[in-house]
Amino acid sequence: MTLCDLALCQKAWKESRVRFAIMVLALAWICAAIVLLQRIASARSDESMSYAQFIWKAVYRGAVRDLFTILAMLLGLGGLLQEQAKGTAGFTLALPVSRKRMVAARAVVGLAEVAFLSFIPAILLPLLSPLVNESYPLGAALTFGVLWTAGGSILFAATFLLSAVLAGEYTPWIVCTASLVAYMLLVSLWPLSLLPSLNFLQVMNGVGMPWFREAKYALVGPAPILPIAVMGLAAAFFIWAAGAVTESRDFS
Amino acid sequence: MKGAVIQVSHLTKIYGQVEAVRDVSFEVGPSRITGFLGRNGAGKSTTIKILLGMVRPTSGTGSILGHPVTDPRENLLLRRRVAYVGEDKGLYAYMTVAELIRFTRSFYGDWRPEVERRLLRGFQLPANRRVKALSKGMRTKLALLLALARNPDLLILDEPTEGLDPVSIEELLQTLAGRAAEGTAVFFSSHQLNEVERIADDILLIDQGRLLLDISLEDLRENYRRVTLGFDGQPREEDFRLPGVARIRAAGRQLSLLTSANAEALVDIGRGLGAVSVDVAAVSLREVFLEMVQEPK
Repeated sequence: MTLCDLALCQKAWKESRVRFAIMVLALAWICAAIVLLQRIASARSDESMSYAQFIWKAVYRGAVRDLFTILAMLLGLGGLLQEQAKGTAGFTLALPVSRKRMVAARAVVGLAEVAFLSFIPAILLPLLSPLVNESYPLGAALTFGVLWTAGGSILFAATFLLSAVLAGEYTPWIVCTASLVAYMLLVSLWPLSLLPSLNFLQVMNGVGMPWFREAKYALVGPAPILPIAVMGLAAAFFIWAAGAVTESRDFS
Repeated sequence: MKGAVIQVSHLTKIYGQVEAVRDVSFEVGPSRITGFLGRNGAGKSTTIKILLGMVRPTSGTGSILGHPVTDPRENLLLRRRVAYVGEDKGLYAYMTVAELIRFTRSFYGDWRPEVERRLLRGFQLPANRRVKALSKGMRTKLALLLALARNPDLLILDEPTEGLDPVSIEELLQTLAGRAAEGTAVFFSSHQLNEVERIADDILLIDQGRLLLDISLEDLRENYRRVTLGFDGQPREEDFRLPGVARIRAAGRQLSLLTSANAEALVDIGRGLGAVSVDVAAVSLREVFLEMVQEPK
C-alpha cells in the first residue's frame, strides 16, 4: 500500500466516519436494549422461549438484522458521482491516481466498516448476557459475525455499484432496497425456493441451513466456507463492476 | 510548435444534441501565460476537463507535456506534472484546512513546504477550520494554495480569481507572472478581461464550442484595429470583406469593421466609395472579445 492509497483510505474514512459512528451507536444500543430488556420481553411473550431462541429471534432474524441490512446498504453510498453533485469530483479526479484505485480505497474502508458492524452483536451479546444472568456462546456469535460480514458485503457492494451508476444522494439506497425486496420475493417462489441458499438473508441467520440447529437456535460445526465464499465473490463482482463503470464514465 | 506544453487537435465533444466543443485545435507553449476566454457555457471548462481526463472527447486528440490525454495511464502521468484549480473550487467540506493540505501533499513529490507555509500565512487561512466553514473567497484561496504549493510544469486554473478580494487578485496575478518567469506554463480561464490583459502572453477565445481566436496579446495589440466609416447613403458590407476582417457591423449609414489586417486597404475602399468620415483606432481585448462573441443585432 502506497502513501497515496493510505491517503485515499483516510479520505474514505473521513467521508463516512460520522454516519458510521451513528450506525455503531444505533446497533450497539439496540443489541444492549434487547439483552437488558430480555426478561420483560420474554414475560410479555405468549410462547416460552429459551435465551438463545430469544436472542436469535430478536437479533439474528429480527430487528437487529433488519437494521444491519439497512445500514450496510447505506454504507455503500458515496463515490465520484455523488462527489460530482457536491462539486468535489474535479479536485479528486485531478489527483494523480487511477479511478480504480479511488474505487478500491473506498471499497476497502466500506467493507471494513461493514465487518465492524457485523461483529457488534458478536462482541456485545457474550459481554452483556452475564448482566442478566445468561450466557451466549462466543463461538456462535463470531460465526454469525462472519455470516453477517459476507451478507452485508453483498448489500454494501450492491449500493456501491448503484452509486456508480445513479446520481442522487439516496437514490442508490432506495433502488437497492427495492431490488432487495424484489430479489427476496423472487427467491421465495418455486422453483427458486428449492434452493434456500439463494436467500442470503436466510444464509445469514441460518434458517434451513445445514449449519443451523433449529431446536437449539444455535450454529453447529465450522463456519460454512462455501456460502461465505460465494457471497464474497458476488460482492467482489459488484465492486469490480463499480470500478469499471467509474473508469468509463465522463465527469463533466 | 516545438515542445508545446498543451497540444489540442480537432477536439470535439458532443453531449446528446449539444456540441460543447467543436473541432478545437490550439497549442500552448512552455513558460507562457495563456488566457482562455469565453462566455459561460462556451466550452472552456469542458476543454479543460478533456485535457485532465475527466471527460472523453467524442473525437480529436490532445496531449499535455507529450502525454496523450485520452490514455488513462498517460493521463495519470501528466496529472503528476499539472496543478489544477477547478471552476467550482469544490474541496472536501469535512476536512480541516490542515487535513486537506496533508491529504493533497501525499500525492505529489514536487510539494514545496516553504511555499505552503508562506501561502497559508499570506492567505490568512485558519489551519484548524473545516472547509465547510470557510467563505467562498477563503475556499478559492485554499484551492490556489493546493495548486501553488507545488512546482508543476503546467498550472491549469479555471476562473482562479472568482470570489477573491482585489488585494488577493493582485497577489495572485503577480504570483502567476512569477511562476511563468520560473518556467511554469499557465493556462487559465477568466471572465475578467482586464486581469487577462495584464498578465497573459497569449489569448484563446472560444464561443459556442468553436475557437474564434488564437493569438498573442502582442499581435492583438499591434494588428487589431477598428475602422469606422460614415457614408451619405447605405453602405454595402460585401465591399469590405477582405482577409483579416473579423466582424462587420452596419448601423444606419455607419459601418464598423474589426480587422486584424488590411486596415489601410479598408480605409482606401471606404474613401473610394465616398466615405464622409473615417476613423481607425486600436482596440482593447474587451472590444475584441465583445465583437467576436456578441451576435449581430
